[in-house]
Amino acid sequence: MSGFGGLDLFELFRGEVEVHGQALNAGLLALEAHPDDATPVTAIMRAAHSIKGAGRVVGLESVVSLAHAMEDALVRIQKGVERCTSGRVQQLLQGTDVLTSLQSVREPDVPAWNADHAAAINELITALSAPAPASAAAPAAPPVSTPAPEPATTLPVHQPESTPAAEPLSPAPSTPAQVRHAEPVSTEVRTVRVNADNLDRMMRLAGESMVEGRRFPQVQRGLRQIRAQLRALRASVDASGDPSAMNREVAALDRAVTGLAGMLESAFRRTEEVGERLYHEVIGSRMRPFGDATAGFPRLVRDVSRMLGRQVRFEMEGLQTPVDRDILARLDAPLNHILRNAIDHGVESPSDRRAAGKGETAMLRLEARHHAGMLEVRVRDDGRGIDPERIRAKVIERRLQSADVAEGLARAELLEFLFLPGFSTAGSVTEVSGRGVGLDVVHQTMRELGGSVRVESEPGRGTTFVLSLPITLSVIRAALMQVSGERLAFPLARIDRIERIASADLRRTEGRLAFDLDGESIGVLHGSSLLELPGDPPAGTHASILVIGGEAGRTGILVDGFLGERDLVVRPLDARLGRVPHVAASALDEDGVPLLVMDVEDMLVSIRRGLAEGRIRGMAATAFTRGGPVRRRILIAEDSITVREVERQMLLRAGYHVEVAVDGVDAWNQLCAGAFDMLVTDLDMPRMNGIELVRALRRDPRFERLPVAIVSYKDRPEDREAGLHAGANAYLTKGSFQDRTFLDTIIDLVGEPVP
Amino acid sequence: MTDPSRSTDMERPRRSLPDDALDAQTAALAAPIAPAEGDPLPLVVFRVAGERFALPAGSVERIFMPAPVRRVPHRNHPAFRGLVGHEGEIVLAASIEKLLDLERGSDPAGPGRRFILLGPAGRGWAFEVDMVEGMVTVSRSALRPAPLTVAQGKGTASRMLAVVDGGEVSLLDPEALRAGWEVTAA
Repeated sequence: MSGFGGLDLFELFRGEVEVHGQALNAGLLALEAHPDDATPVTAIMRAAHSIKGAGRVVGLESVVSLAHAMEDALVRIQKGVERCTSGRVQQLLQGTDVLTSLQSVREPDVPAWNADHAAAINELITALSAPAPASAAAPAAPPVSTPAPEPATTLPVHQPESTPAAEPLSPAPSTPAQVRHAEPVSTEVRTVRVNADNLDRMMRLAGESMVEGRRFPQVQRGLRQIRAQLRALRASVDASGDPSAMNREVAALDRAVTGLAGMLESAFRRTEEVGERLYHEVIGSRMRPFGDATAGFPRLVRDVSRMLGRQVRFEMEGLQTPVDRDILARLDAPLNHILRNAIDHGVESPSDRRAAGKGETAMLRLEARHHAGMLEVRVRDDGRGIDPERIRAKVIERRLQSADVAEGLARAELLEFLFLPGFSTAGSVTEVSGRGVGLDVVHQTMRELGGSVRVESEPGRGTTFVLSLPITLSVIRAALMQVSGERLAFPLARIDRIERIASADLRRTEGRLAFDLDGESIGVLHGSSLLELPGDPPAGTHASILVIGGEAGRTGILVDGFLGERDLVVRPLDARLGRVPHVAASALDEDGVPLLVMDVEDMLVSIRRGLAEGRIRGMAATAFTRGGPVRRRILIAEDSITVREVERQMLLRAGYHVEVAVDGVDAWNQLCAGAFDMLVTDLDMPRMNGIELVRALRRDPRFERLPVAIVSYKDRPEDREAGLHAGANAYLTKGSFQDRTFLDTIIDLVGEPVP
Repeated sequence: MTDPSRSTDMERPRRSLPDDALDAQTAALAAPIAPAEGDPLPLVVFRVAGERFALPAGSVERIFMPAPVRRVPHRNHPAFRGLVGHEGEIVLAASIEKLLDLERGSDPAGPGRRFILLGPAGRGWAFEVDMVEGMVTVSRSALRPAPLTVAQGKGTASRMLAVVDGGEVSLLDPEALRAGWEVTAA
């Protein structure tokens, strides 16, 4: 099991069990405390699902079956098919205990563990698939001697020669659940894997730097001696007035000082060099080859293909691509889901492939590369592809869109629905996929990492999932700019150009600064006024201009100068500063002086809005004033482009002025910067979700009375209650698009489009 | 270091006192300490804009050499200066002159300039003073309330007066100081 490239899979598995075991325990206890609140179920299911996947990688079929049975029981609770009883929770906790007992099992002892737990696991599986027992006391695991009925999934576990009855599987049933709370739920010590060479180099450098540091006291002693000698010199000159004695003393002092200066200089130089190397090693130690995350995939593909009777040739490329360890650690589960999906739904059976005129063996490729400053991971199969019409039918069937809207959706838009929670086109639930747990988890993970996922598919030809991620969350390459005497870091990936032009080429027309770049006239703003950093405007024969904005419309920022490029270790901004507009994070420059890392997207949003409202000095407002009657302004916050477009079109058609934001933070910034009469927001959004957004608004005197409508797919009463409790004025489901409910509610809250 | 009241109270700020302040402190340590009458209170005494102030030594985490302060965009309140780096950490910096409404400015290039870093760790903040005189221990019972005009003045964090080396020193309340700038940073 510990075969792949020296990576100890079992070790990783134990880590997974530990982490997800904690989630299971915490979630189950929450569920037990409030059986009617199903909120924790999703998290518990994911934890069980992850353990199942990890168990499969290391070939622990008993774990896979148990976790599967637990997941099944949870699905019934989630769907409301079964009520959540304390007896069921007890069984699930017992299952968790069995699973987490693996944390302390070493790989050679796994067969013994299997033997010890086989009977108990069988019983648990049987109990979990039976109707839920009412109370915790009743279903104490059946006696071991009773032959358990054959569970749905058979276990490849051999019975031990002697049934060990000694080890209790779980705490005695009488143990009150509260006792578990007393255990530290998360004793989270963050551990990371570091390349051994890298660590060796860091240790050597740290040692060197310590040795270098020890030279300084020597220098200090030398300086004290010189001071003593100087005093002696003054005393002796005062006493004797003998110049020759003075000359001797001075010559000795001169030698001593010269020696010290040399010592100091070399010590400084070495310390500096060691420090710099150490810094780069530490940065480098965060990166791991992509292949570290893929070791278990060949096995996974083989096993799944066999189980489903598919023939698959699996290829991987770009395994050496460096990836930040934090990102790598999060990639396993999404890729696992996508690979399973590809084999289960994408790849046809050999006979179907033959009938379609393809080779019997399907091709499945996993590729990683750096592309445009991002890590791009592609999973491509040459299977049957995704039929957009099936998604369309499902969208209509599940009332996610009205038939009208659904008919008008393009293929790319339809494919986006695959990432909705619970959206699955799989006909039946199998152990491999089709629970709808998969793709929304992928989507969620990508969003949390600041990346995105999209799917491309051609019916009959195959499907490609494209994950796009930042290469690292913690180190960025940035250009340092000076603005009003301050150093600001702009992530290189967000910069279009850095231009140095003759000041004479910076025109002022109609009060607006502009210069020509590639035949295009580009408006220029003073960095100091955009960022509210008072200072002397840059002067001189040349002007340095930072160009941002790309295709969507380029803008120039006038800065004092360009200070070079740096690799910066990004740290979150001190929480006491609150949200600072245009600033993403902080960092330390090489000389230990703090730097601010700028949020270029946020700057662009401000610039565009500032232009529209004529608020930014240095740009003429006249060209941007709006004509016609003043309309009520509504902001839509929604991360799905499809839903956003539907809402925008509906409100536009009704006559409102509409702006859009792609997540909660974007919405917050726009609301702060512009006069809006109403907010329409989604619940699930990256960076800041709808509930957080509404809460933040209600805490701010400016937005206490702003009408807010939440529009969400979630239509459970508890979601509605949470939304209204946070301060929303209305809670609508996306079903409201189909009749006038949506528009009527908007009109009720904000009034007619034109006052 | 056998006298516990000395060692525990002195240890933290001394750790990073620069050389000259170290001399002053060594002298202070070597001097015979008056037997603690009532309740001994160790103080860090410093000068800013020509006036003398003191903070309870327990509230002072570090004293460090001047370093560049970087302004934060859109945060232009005079009491909040920006960010300063110290030993690989980024610390928020405030202006003690503005916090105390001191009329006379300080000499930004004075040789005795130091940053005083107040805790607690994780919520630390720093301000720059003209010089750190050193540490003294006074008796709590010898503290006098500051005149009403001082104690109630806007932005004033002086609650008590202590006598150090025959002169009056305003004893500042670190929490009142923090409250004076923290809102302006957000």
